[in-house]
Amino acid sequence: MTGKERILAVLDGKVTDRTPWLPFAGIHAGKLKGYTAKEVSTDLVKLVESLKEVNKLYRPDGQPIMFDLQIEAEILGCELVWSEDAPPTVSTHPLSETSDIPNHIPGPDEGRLPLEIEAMKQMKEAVGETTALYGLICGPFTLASHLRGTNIFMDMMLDPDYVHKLLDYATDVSIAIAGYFIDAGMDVIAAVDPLVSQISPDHFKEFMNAPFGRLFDSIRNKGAKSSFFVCGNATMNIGPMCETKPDSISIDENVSLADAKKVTDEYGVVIGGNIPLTSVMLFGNQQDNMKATVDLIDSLDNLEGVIIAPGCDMPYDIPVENAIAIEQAVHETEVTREMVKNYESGDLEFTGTLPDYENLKKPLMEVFTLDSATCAACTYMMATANDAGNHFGDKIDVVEYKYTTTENIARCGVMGVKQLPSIYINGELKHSSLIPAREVLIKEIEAYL
Amino acid sequence: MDKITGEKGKIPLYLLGGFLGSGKTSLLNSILSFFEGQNVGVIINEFGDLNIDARLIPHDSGINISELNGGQIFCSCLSGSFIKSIAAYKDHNIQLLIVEASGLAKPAPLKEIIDLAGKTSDHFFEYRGMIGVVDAQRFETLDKSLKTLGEQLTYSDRILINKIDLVDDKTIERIMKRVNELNPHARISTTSFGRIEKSFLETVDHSDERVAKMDSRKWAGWGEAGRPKPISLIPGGPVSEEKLKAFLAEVASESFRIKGFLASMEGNIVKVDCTGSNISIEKNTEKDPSLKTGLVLLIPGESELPDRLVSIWESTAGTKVQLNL
Repeated sequence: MTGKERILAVLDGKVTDRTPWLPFAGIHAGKLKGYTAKEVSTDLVKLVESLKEVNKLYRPDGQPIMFDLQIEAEILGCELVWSEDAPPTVSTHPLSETSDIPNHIPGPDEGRLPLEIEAMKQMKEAVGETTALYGLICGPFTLASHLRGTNIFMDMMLDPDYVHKLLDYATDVSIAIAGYFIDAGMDVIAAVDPLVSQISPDHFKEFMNAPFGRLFDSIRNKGAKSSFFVCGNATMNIGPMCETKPDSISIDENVSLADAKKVTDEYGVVIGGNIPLTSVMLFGNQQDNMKATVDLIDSLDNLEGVIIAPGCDMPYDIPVENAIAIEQAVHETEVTREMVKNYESGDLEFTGTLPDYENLKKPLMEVFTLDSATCAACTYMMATANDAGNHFGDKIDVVEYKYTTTENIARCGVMGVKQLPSIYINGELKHSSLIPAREVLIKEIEAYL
Repeated sequence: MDKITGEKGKIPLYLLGGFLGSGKTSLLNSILSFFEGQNVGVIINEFGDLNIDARLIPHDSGINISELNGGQIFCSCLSGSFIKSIAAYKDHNIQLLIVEASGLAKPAPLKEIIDLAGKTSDHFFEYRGMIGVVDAQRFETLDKSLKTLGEQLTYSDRILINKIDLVDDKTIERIMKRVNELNPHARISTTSFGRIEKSFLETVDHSDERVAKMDSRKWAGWGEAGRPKPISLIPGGPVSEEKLKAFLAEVASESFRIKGFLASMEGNIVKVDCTGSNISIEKNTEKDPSLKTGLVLLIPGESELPDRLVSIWESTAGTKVQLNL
């Protein structure tokens, strides 16, 4: 199955060959190419380049084009504050002092929509056959709060009619944007609405049920799949969310995936999530990420109707190797479980001998991988290394060490290898995670000849 | 404020939570006034709220304010920036670090963030606890719609009920009861304009064991009072503004909101707008011939006020009235 087939199959309630993997690489995509968050939020060329790199290195089954809940708000009059390593944030609320309901529905030519839609079309052409593409829209409640400000929480009690009207308008906006994205070829439209986790089930039923129901109906009628994504502790609202009939729901680390799945299974809704962003993905090492992913998968009663994803938009600075490790763990869970068992066993002893790096007859390129046969990034790293190897023929030695054997895990420990895949030349780390260009590697090897 | 210097030279760090407009700024200004001449770090998380009083910051002051561009943190995807902001103070020579968290910030992730920030910056600070600021005027309303309000209070180590000058004693009593219910451990005090005593920070007393957990499953939003319902009152004729005031004084505290236009005996149309016990009667300046007169009251679902409403109106406003449910 291709990644796209996998995602669509799971959303259709069918059996898949492997659990799908959906990395939410929004502004994090820029890190793979050395672009800032702002650059990939505003520059088409840089954005598409970064997205293609995500597709290559992380081998996603599904991939979002942009993860920016401020695009609609910006068009509708909210000022934004930009950041080098995070999505922009809304700083002003045009409806905070008025109870008028606007009627402006953004057109596809406004704000950053042309950028986003064009990126969608280009990615559709580049990877659309094999990867399910996700178009993310700002959910109506969060959009309403961008426009109104946090007074909306007072309004819900003191002026519920107003809130109903404002949400109706915001839903009209969401439906329009979803339409543009579907026309641009998106397979799944995800409505991302973090504020939903802040309200009670009573309020959800009162205010959100009709708008979200209308939104997901509209997406369905246009022939696309849908996802309802709420970050924060949305535990109590999972049931109410399912009732609005999305094809899938995504949750963050504040919610137990196993518990939420019990609810979504009853509704026949697919559940996605929920690898912890900060403690594991951002600050953990590869082993932490592999273990967390395996543990997450093992916490579930069954693997039907589930997509493994980070808890939310990946922080910019997540080490690339961590995402690589997660992909490996999702797609090759058995093998990874063994790796985790081995490196955790505590009694790993390296019984081989390290090369005598000072006295080598030929330059030695050692490639440390999770497994070049399966991990996408590892495949590319090995391919580049072999390519360089072929260029030099007998003049250099090339060796791969896969993390699949205890011997190699121990070797990594002894050598202090922290990221996989990585390339060492004569015992020195030269590249990790990001694949070097052929010419760069060749030049580096030449220096040792 | 000398007693609050940390153990072994660690900088004391306080979290400051509370809804936008609750008085975090005023409280912070009060705290800073006791630190004049000393170096203090402040991390702002909420736009439009914190407006550190410039008069309190002399030219060479050590008050170092960093604004967190992440805006309202309630999603873990922004934790990294938060942690970075805290870690940035590691080599600053500050006596105190206050981190403002937005009213929407989930406290459990906040605590995890503090722990991670400590780990990634050699534990240069000592977490002293979370201060929760309550807006007495809006608390009861917000508590029904915003879950995090109660959650933050459950995690707070010290709670300050602010703006008590704007509400009556009964309201303060109810709020104290509710806050105590949410958090039986934290010391609670009341104030106006964020005014505090010099020893305030010393009264923030954190203990990891004591952190209560709000039972989210019990949080039903509307609460026992049930979904609010609107009722309308249509007077038979014009009413005197004095008597109208008397009526509103009696019922406003039992209503979430009272709105409408009425003909007054003084010959005007008056616009009524009450939020809780905050009463407003203004002359209506808009000339709209189609304007309908009457009052709409938004009251708790389970309220028995409708049974008493007509008699209250007749005894205060003194005219006939029609009640529509």
